[in-house]
Amino acid sequence: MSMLAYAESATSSSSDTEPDAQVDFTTMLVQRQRGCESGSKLHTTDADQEQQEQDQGYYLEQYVLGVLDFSSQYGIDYSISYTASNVIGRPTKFPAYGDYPETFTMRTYGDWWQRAPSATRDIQPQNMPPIDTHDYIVVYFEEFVVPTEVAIFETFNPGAVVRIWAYSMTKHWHCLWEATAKDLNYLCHDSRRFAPPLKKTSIITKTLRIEFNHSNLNYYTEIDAIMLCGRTVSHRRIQNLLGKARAHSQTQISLAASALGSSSTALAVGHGPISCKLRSLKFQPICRSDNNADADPVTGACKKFINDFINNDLSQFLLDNRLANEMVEQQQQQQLQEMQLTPANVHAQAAARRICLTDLPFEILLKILSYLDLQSLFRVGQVSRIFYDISTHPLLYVEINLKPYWQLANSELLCTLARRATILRKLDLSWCGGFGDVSPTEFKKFLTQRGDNLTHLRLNSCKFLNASCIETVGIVCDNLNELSLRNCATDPPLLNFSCLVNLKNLERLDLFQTAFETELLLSMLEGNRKLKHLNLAFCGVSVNMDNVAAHLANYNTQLVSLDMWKAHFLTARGLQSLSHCHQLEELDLGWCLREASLGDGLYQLLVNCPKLRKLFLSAVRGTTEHDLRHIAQLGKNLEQLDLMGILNITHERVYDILIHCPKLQLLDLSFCENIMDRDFDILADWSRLFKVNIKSSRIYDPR
Amino acid sequence: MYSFIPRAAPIHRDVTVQTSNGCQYRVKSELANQMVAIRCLLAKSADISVIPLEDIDSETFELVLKWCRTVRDSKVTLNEHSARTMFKKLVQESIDDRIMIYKLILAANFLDIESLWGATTQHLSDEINECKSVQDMNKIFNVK
Repeated sequence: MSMLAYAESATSSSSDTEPDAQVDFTTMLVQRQRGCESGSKLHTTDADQEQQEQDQGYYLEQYVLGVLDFSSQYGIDYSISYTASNVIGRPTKFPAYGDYPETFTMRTYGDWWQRAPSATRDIQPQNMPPIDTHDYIVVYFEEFVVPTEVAIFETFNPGAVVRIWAYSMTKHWHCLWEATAKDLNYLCHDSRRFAPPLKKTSIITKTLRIEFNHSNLNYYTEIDAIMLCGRTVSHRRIQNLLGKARAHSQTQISLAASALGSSSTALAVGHGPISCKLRSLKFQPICRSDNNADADPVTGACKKFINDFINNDLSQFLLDNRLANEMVEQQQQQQLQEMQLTPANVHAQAAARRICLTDLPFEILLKILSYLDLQSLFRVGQVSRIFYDISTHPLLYVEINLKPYWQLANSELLCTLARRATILRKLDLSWCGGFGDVSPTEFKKFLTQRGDNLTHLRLNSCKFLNASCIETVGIVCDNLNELSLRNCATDPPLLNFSCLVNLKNLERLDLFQTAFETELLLSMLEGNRKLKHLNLAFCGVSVNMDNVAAHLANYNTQLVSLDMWKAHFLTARGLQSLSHCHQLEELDLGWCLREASLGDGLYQLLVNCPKLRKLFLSAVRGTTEHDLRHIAQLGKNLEQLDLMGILNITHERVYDILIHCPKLQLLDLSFCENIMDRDFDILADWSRLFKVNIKSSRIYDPR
Repeated sequence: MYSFIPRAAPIHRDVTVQTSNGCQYRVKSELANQMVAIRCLLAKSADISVIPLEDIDSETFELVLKWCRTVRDSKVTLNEHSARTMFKKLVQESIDDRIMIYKLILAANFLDIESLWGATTQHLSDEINECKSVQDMNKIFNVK
């Protein structure tokens, strides 16, 4: 893509930001590979200087070449509006500020989705960091560089970026920057070139992962472009490093496990069951016997007692008796002499004087450790044998969440956890295993061993999944209540022919942005009569949503929440079917029903589903004024209402709704072209009066 | 976490309790109601005059009573966060060394006071989290 190159020797000049400075990139690459001297840089130099620069590298700024992965986007894949691919290349709108479809936008903002009926609870919540990640995008650039700056061009509601990761050539993710609480409180409503101070690093990368947290956002945040700046590295050096990386890849795998603090501290390369077992049995009690060898002349077994006491108990002993620092030396000498005479008593004395943590009963220690996150639990297990035994007790592994450790999760970790998690009930492996860290075989083995009692399984954005993994889920995990397979849009679809029909107890099924065969979904709907939450966002392209709606009406009348975002080809017939689900509390029909008028579908829905709390009709252009009247009359329990882009709204209808829906908290009136500009001041007043959050982004957008 | 499942009927009279070192304490009914073990005991045999507590000494029991009083007097609903802050305050005011906390845990376990048990274990777990290395753990918790 486009790129601005600066030669190292050149004085800095701002002339390169002009559009003419854009250079044909492919030619440059080819020329450099051929070792061509001229034409590849803006400031041409002579031969030896170029050689020097090729070795040292030069400062380079580059924009995104492509997107590898993203957790969610607002637009649908084949469209160009509000999709992840808009982040590629130069910024198109920056420095303008507004709601533009030529940017990358994610699906959620604020905490509205956490307040909706379909909200879920985190598995093993103590693992989550104080500022957790809601969404991410992984992008790659053209050239390897040593990163010095990452600039993110935010053109709407800035302030959601919380982490920047870089994937080094040693196949590790490095966190270059992490937000603190005050970074999230950025309230300025203007476009921003966000370039936080990065950690000093010498890694070489061309792949970045940007993580977002939406909780403080007023409305959607939009990203126009991402720029990676750094010093390039010569090709020779890259080849060397790639070679070394391959050789070290074996040891890197076990490094990751030890980074998590697990007891597999050895850098041994063996992966078989015996070496795994050996590694897990090793732990390291602290024993500095070599240092104190000259301090005491006593030999034999006494040495160990004395050293233990000196290292572990003595300082505590002294602290307890509140002896001043100056007396420490004296005491130490005295104690040493005493102990030389009666070494066996030392231990007994120390024990009798104090209870230590490990004297507490087992259940209490278990309870204490149950508050710890997974990483701390592994660390605690290294302290002593007793702690190791407690920290590996299965009751601490009833819920496992590896999502906050996505960069560390690998097959070995799964192996270690499989040994401990004998009564596993909830498992979250979302975002793990990208770039081949987790093998499908290991995952299947884990599931076969421990998956039979699973009630909740979340495998969002798991790139290691293949068809046989899903089959294993279907065969082994027949007690599943919740299955979440977001963002698995592979082609051919992962979810095919009858692989999950064995699941009969599902209450929650999340297939956001995932491809599947229609017959599979229909047979699953037939089999899971207790289904309460169903998310089929972005699935409406290849799936006939009318048929799905008809099935729901027949088999899944307990449905509480349904998300059919961007199901363009849903018709009024489908909408009619949905009114058979009387328990509906949440319905997201954003961008649906493109082809047709609603008929009296919306009216039937509102009449038959009185519990409706969240109704999204974003860009459902067939909504008539009658429908809006019905919403006001019948939507007694409505809390969140999205009427973005509906043309028939006037401010009278808005007033109607505000008066008659007492529980309303969120009302999205963005892009409602019938509401005049002057009316927006009145809207602001009403927003305060009725205590409803009214959204009204109104930059003209030709959709 | 603090959903109180009353396994026995609430007590309506004051109870007398004797600690391991012979001291007797007269405990008001509203404080004794937080101690589920005492409730169960009285539900089984209602006419016990003095309840013996063999494993709890006076110092610990006084701290227990202090905690129960704080819970009774607090106007905030008792959830994880408020219990943590309340317990931290208690530690700052009245507890000098870690052994006292261990004894409090054992007392809370024996008397089945859910709020105190949750708060003490949470406190210790926070302390473990603050340890940066294995040596720290050994030193602070006197682990052999």
